[in-house]
Amino acid sequence: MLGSALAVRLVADRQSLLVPRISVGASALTLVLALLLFLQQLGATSGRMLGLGLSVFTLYIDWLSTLMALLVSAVGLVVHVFSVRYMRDDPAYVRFFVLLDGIIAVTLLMVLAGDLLTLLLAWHLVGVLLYFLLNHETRRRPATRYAFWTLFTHRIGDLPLLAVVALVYHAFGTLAIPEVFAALAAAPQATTLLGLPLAGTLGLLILIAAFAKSAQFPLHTWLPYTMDGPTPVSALMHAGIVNAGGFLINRFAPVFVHTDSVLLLALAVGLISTIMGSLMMLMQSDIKKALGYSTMGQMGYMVMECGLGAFSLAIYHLIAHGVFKATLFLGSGAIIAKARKDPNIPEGEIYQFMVERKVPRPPVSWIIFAGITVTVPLLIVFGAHQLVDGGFLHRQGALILLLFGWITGAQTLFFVYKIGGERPFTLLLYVILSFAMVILTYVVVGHAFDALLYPDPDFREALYQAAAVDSGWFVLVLLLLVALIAMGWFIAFRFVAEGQPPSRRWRTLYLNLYTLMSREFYIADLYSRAGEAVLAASKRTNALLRWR
Amino acid sequence: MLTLILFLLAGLVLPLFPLSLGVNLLLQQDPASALGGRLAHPAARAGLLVLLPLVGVGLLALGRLVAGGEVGALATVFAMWGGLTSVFYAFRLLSVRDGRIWLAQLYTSALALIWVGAAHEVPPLLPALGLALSLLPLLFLFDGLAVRFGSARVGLYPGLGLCMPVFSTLFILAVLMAVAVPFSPGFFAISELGFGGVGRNELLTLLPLGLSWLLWTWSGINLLAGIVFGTPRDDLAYADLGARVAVRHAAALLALALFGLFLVEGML
Repeated sequence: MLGSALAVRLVADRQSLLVPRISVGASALTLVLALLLFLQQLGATSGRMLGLGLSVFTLYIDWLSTLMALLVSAVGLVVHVFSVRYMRDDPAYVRFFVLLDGIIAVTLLMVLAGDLLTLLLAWHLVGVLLYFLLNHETRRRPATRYAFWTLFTHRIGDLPLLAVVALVYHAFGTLAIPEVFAALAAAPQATTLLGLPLAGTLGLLILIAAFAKSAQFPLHTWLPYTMDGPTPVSALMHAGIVNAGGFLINRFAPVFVHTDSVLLLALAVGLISTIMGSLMMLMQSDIKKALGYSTMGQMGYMVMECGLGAFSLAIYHLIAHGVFKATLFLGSGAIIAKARKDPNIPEGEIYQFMVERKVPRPPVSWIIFAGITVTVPLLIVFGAHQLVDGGFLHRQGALILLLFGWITGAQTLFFVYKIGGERPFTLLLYVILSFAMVILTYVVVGHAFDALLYPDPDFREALYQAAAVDSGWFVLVLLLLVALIAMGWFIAFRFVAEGQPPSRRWRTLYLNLYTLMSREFYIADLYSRAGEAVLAASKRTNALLRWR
Repeated sequence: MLTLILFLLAGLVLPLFPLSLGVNLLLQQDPASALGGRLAHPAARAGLLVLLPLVGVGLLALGRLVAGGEVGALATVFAMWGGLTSVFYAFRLLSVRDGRIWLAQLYTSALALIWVGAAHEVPPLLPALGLALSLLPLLFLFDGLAVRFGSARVGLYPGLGLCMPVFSTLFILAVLMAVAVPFSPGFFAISELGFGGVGRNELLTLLPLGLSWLLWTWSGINLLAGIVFGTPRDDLAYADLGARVAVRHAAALLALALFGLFLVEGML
């Protein structure tokens, strides 16, 4: 891809028609190579290192790296093909393709890196190249401003990774990834100079680096605002680059098995980001910004999965999310254009509910429906897990994920009740069947990823154990949560049945919350103010010292 | 005592605040002044940028030699002083809009970090050279701006990316090199200081390195936002770089990137 970037730049002045052909051709070739590499690795028993005889630029070919390379090159090809026509009339067509090739090259280098310095180089360059891609429309001030936010946040994420590299090199005298993991496994109790456990410190630093790249609270503000870049860049960013955090955590999985409680931070931050991203998504009127917050929420879920010890599930999640989010972004322009002519929402109950805001009176007893809503999704998620992996009950992480599956399913069924209609139970049946299919697929594919990425069952168990807390407390909190959530559903059903939704009942509180959320909790404003204050202080200091 | 004096002398050129005021005064000389006239040519200032750290490294080595290598507490004090100076100048760099001041302050912030490594016995020569050499491409391009527009200043002539694309591409690369983005010798110098220093004191090493590096990025982006990006003015005449000059600059950047690789190979 780097060769393609160079070739595109060289031929651009003489043969501009060749630009997309070279770029798309190189992208297709990269996909083929990535596929071959992945297929070859499927039959292998372990990973292997490739290098040029230098200390840097080594590659580590294993299941995780080849799978990620396949994802990156596939998304890269789709974005390339889409860009050929989408960007055709853009005066900066050539620059765009050079940067696009460049960012895919460094992303591939990042996922395939065999030593920590190469990983750091690529990790850092992804942020730099993204800055220039987001700044594509060079005259627009917002583009420059938000591209800066992106680069600055990514740079904040580079610092912990630099610290990781330095600490590892000092501790083990090597930067080769497999050697580092072997050395850590041989001395899991190693400490830093400050007396902190080395594995725990590394784990913490890796998580912070991942949070910055994957837009996790409170380092999330760059993602929803970077909508001034071209749509293909948004697609690449949301389907590929934000996944870097999940990849990094998985790459360092052998570090996390030696940590104690560090993964709880991933769980907490992921949970906050999931809730915040989903809430913010619902508040947006701009489709791209809504998708931006949706990505934040999804990445939060992915990080949370890692925090629960379900590392391979996070990889499956990021691949699935990447595919559907790229589709949504690339289709968003066409959808907006179509919707301007015809909203294309079929007449019926959903139209009345969503567009005309007519809330029908639910036709059936709320107690029956609430009972179905609370019990059926729970049975489905429990049954699916039991069917695929009977021994899941002793894994705390799996139980928490099951809880989330239950909440998601119940929310869907609650929506069916709110819509009402003439045949609510038929609609309910369709939704339940769809939900069962989704959950079963999720569990089956999740287990396939488990077997592919972490074939050693003991290692998988160790990951879950690293994320576990005291079992007595866990059971207590889990039961309390289940009871609270079930009670919450029953209350919500009752309010809807009485035609008194909570938003009407506690109007002042609702409006205050709405205001707070419409300003996105003032986090971006806070950062802006802090930035301005730092700049003003810098100017005052310089003036005082006469700029010397 | 002699070691202390030698270290303080080194602190004039591997700048430690407030000794750094002198080197900043020198590097910021107005070409219209007597001393500035002698340094008006960018090659003279480039020579100075490379020579000063070498003098500093020499004085540092001499100080260590005089003390017989036993500089423990003194070196730690100087490392903290260097780290604070670096972060302080990186912070000040955020509001600088003039090219000469920008380079002088970045020089101060970058070279002060040598003390952080020196306290932990990281050989200072290559990192000092790496950090100083990374500034040279920008020095020449700032000079190009001053020749064209009368001064190298952020915000006076925005949008050069559209009017002078070749110059802008090189300018972007030079700014990235100056703020120690990977493949610049500055990046590998920082890595070397970090890898070496972390074995002695993690916080004292990583905190100033990380903070300065972060703030350099911010100020580098300020440069790009005010010069390369934005809407170009209609009342200015723009002249892009000729092919020969552009190739010369690109070759210099490539050579520096290769030097960076040489540094990393030496480091690992």
